[in-house]
Amino acid sequence: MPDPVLSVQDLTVEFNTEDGVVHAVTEVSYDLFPGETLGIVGESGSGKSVSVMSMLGLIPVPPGKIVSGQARYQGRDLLTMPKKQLRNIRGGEVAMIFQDPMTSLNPVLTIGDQIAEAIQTHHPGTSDGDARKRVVHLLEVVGVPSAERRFDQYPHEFSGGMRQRAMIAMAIANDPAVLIADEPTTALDVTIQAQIVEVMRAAQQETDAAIILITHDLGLIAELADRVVVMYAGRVVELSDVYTIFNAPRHPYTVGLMNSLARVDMDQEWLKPIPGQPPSLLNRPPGCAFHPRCEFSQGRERCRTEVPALRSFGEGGMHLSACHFAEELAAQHVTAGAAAVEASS
Amino acid sequence: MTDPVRPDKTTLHASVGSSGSPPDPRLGGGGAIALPNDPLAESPSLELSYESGVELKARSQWAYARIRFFRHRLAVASLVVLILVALVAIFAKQIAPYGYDELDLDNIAASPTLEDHHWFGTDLLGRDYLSRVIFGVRTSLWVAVFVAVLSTLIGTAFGAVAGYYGGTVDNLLMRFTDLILTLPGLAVLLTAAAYLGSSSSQVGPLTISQPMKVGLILAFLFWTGLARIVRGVFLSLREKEFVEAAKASGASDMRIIVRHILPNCIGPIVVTMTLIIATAILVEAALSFLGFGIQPPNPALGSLIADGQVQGFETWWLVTFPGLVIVIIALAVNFIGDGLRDALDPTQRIRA
Repeated sequence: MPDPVLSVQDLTVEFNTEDGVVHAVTEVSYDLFPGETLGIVGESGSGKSVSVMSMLGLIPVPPGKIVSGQARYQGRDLLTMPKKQLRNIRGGEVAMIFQDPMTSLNPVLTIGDQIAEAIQTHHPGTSDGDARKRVVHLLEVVGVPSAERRFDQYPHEFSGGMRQRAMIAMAIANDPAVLIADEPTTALDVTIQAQIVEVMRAAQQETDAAIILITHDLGLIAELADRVVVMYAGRVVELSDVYTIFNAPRHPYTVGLMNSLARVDMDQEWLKPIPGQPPSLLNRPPGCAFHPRCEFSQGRERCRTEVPALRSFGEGGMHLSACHFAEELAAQHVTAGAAAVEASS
Repeated sequence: MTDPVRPDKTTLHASVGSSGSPPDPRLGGGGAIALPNDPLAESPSLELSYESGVELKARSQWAYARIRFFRHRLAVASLVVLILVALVAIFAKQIAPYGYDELDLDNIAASPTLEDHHWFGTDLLGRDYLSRVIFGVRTSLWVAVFVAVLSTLIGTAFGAVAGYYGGTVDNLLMRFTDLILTLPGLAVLLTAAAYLGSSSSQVGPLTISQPMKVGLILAFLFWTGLARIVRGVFLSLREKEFVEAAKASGASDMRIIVRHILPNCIGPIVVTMTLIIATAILVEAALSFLGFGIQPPNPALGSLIADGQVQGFETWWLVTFPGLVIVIIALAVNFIGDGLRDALDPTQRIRA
């Protein structure tokens, strides 16, 4: 196993609001290895975005506050780095693709100018001509037709899908080692989503970047991710490779997610939603934050009182779950996903 | 309002290639439904068939702005008027039939006539009024532009920094702005004008002429409105995703302010600036009217009216012509501001 390119350890982020302290991210740890795609899934408000935004210094401080933790990128801690150094890394070695391409592009600058600026910010000596050539190449990589002409157009002259391609081009402009995609397809319609998946692949091929893919779209995860981090109420509840997550989840929340998914390979009369509402991060349930909604817990004392630690399973210790009774779950729950894999192979 | 660029080729391709497919083959029974293999590779042929026959011209931002401006007829007309007025002001010495202090003792208080080129008549000392108005425009316009540029620079800088950084910085700068705003304008103007004197003075190597002093006083009072407007725009824009995206791509604060947010404020800034030009002309006229502005024998539009009103309606031309010129300039500048605001907003479509 190579050294991780990015290693997050015990990251805890809080927001001080008028209503109290919001525990947005609590003791989150994961590694990102070179060239892989790490998916982070979870409901809205589960801390997916905050965990990566805080690493790049993109959360407002105050009210936000990084309480503890480390985010080591090439041996340096992003969280304690001087602002200026962090700025050099942002958009250079660690780049980001935003959720909504409609609002993430500056309406008064041409697409080409905006991408060229990303290049010139990090390579101040680049001439306009060279930058233009590079931008046109990047636009071609992400599949923007007639790139030469599109260079001089404004965001409002681009469709949603094309804008997201331009955003991806901007993100890969400086050959990043880490590419963070924050819900890259959420704002797009389904047919465009499929294309953006392809573009993400093309982008990864072009740069060999490791990707952190933040999404609540399990389809996208299945499509792109190598490993998956499942987050719930600000904590990592399960971490494993994508096949295991889909076929042999070891956390009741992940199981619930899989059951709530419409699948073409199964005969489902009804989808099975997870009962209840995601908890408020102001006032998390004691013990396991998932216990009030957990069908598996069945009111067991331990779930209500003790915060479950993330423990490893199986060979290699690469499958982590934060459930007190994960072994029981494994024995009981032969997921339909496993059957699906057999059926398709 | 169809944009020929809008439907992108690969969309067509993908929707044809995978109609109704869920985006997830791995879940969906092992690739039974394939994604479009590679929309990138196949798009060029489609692109050709789609785009042939559709002519697309890439135009620069300024080309678009120019086109949009020239569709605004009133603005174009105003621009022509203002350019003419400015040319007359610049070449006052060549154009004016007389010097502004030249006396024609044969024609004292003559009403407008074609004789001896006294088209606007003469004043009570027999000075040609057309010449005095022309030189008056020269002074007033110069002061107005000076005020507009200076107060726009100050106001934009204050507003941008306050709005972008917020918090304590914002508080400090805006309280200072409020302080200036609470000053009773006319009283301060009069006091300052009286205090600064009616002649030019020397500050180090710089000679500050008397009209420039008036300009400085006006600029000192006029930047506050713009500062508030720019601050407001910055406050709303700094929360936008594209600013966050710029931050995420490593842009410095200065770069975000100047390159990303400021261009988005051009509309309000230009409009406010034209309003300042118009107001500056009017206030300078008022100041001169009260005798605290441009000092004689330098003519300014306001002091011309002040001089002329002594005689009431008997010498109507002494009040009417400079007054008309003020109105024309103020109106023209406002219309140009309107036109520029529309023209500089790239999201405004050009309607065929």
